[in-house]
Amino acid sequence: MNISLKSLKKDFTSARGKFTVLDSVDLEIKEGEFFVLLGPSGCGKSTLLNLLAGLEKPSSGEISFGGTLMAGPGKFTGPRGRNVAMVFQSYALYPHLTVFGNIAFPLNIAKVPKPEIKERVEKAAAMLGITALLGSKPGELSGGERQRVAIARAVVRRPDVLLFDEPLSNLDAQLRLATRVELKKLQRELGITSIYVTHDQVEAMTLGDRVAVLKDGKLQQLDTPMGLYERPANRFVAQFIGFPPMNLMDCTLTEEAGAMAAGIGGVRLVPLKKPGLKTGPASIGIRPSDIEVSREPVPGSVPVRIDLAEPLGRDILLSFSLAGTEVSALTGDAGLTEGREAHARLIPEKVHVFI
Amino acid sequence: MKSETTERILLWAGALAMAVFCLTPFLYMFAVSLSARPDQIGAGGFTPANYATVLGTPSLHFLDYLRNSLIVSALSAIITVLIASLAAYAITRLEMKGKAVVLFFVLAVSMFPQVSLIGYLFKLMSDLGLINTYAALVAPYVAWILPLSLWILVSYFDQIPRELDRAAIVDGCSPAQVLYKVILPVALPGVLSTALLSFIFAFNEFIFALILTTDYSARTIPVGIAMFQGLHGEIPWGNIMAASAITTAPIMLLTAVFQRHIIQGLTRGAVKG
Repeated sequence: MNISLKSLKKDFTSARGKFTVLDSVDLEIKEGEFFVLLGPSGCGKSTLLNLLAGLEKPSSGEISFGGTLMAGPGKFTGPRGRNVAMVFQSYALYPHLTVFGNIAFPLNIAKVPKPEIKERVEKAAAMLGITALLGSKPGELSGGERQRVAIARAVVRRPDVLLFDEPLSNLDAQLRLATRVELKKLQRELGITSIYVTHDQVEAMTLGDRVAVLKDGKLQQLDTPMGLYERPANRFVAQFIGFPPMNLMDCTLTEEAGAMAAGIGGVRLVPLKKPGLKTGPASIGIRPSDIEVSREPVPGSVPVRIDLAEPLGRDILLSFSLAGTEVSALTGDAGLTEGREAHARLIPEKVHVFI
Repeated sequence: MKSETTERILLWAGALAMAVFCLTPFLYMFAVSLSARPDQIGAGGFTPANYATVLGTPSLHFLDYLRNSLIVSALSAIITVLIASLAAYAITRLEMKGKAVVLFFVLAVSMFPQVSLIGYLFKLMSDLGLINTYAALVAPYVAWILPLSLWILVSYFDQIPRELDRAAIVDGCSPAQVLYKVILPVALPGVLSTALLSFIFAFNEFIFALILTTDYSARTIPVGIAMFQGLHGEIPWGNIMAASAITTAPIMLLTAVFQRHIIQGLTRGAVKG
């Protein structure tokens, strides 16, 4: 089911006054898409998910599911009328029911005939590999098992839309990785439109067909994971996506003989070939992997002194000062040790310019 | 090692002192109830005669009092818990203005001394023609116990994660279904202990029962036992003690069965309230 949000807005009124959690968000989510909402805490991503579930009413704007208006001026359909299912960060399993009872709960509420409930619960349990747990209570399960039960409870209803609210945050790192892979496979298999909220950019990059980056209630950029990585729309997205984070430097754009270049305090750092740039102050961004550090000077390089060398395994993360700005760079050369003089060159094609 | 021993001795001494202090009246009650001559414990040997008298003399109406007490207390407990759980659900879950005001108003009401209400209550019940009926007792008991029950249940419901409600709503529950399919079953220990506390409060109540009942058709046990004296121009200590001993049985039984829940309920109410 495709979902369309039109200038969606949500205000909250608290003792400290009114504040806007979501500000004019426009989004089109495609049928069968795995759509990720990414942002730091407090950016409004969970509020957006609640609005989609029908747990909260928008202050203004419209939400449509498959062309049907669910929330808008004078109209509001609650969760019961939307056929959405949700997986929560804390799993939110019903502690007094068995695993079977938990998975069967939405079907019981919908008054599905008993034999069909049994069949569908068993099928969902088999799909998630929790058949052996059907008789247990949630309190007896591990975190990973609980999350599987929560996912089974969500898919057993055959919802039109699946909502995930940071479902992997409470799992340990290894389990998170394994569950992430399974979740993606499951979504592909079922083909249900899914919306996934997370603050973890790695989760967003690996899971999402498309990722919407939110900050302070505003949509920053909507693109494919690689699109976000390669063409960040602003400084926030540039620093939020990718690890180690992108270097940002405040610099001055100058023009010499028709060629643009970026420099800091008279040091010419890198020539810029992007069209339409104007001289003056700007910031440039470059990923640590796009800075070449060598022992000998090369054309276009700047001499630096390495302050810190942190081995990451295959690569070594170097920190040094480049014309007064702290930057980091990745290198494979283990000979570049702390305290050494070296030469850094920014790859001109990989430089991002933010005005 | 040495301080540990001291600690243990002090602990046991303290516990023993408390136990003796609390249990002596009970032991005395049982001893008197079993004595052939209540004025001199053990002098005439021990006999269950007092129990036989209390249970076997129709004119004492002891069994009527017991039945009245059980019915009135059970009704009060059930009605109280029903109202309190609805109110606690509204206060903890629904968007409502002035929740804190409601809670503190309820607390303030519960501070009224019983004695200050009794005169008016008597007039009200007389005008309604309810004197000496179960309703005359159940209505004030519910009003009297409700604040405590509400506070305990609010603290219980408050501890249930809100995500559970949201999950139930997304799973298709109406607000009423959220309450009776999720909140109440999850808070069952709290609901049970609140019901038991309410039962015990109603079971032990004296002043309302004294004023609002006139004979065995509605009179409850605490008043009934107090009325034993003077029946034959004397104070029948043996019978009174036997009746008291029998009366403690239902409470002790309930407490023993639900001990863990009650302690939890009491401390939660205490800590949070």
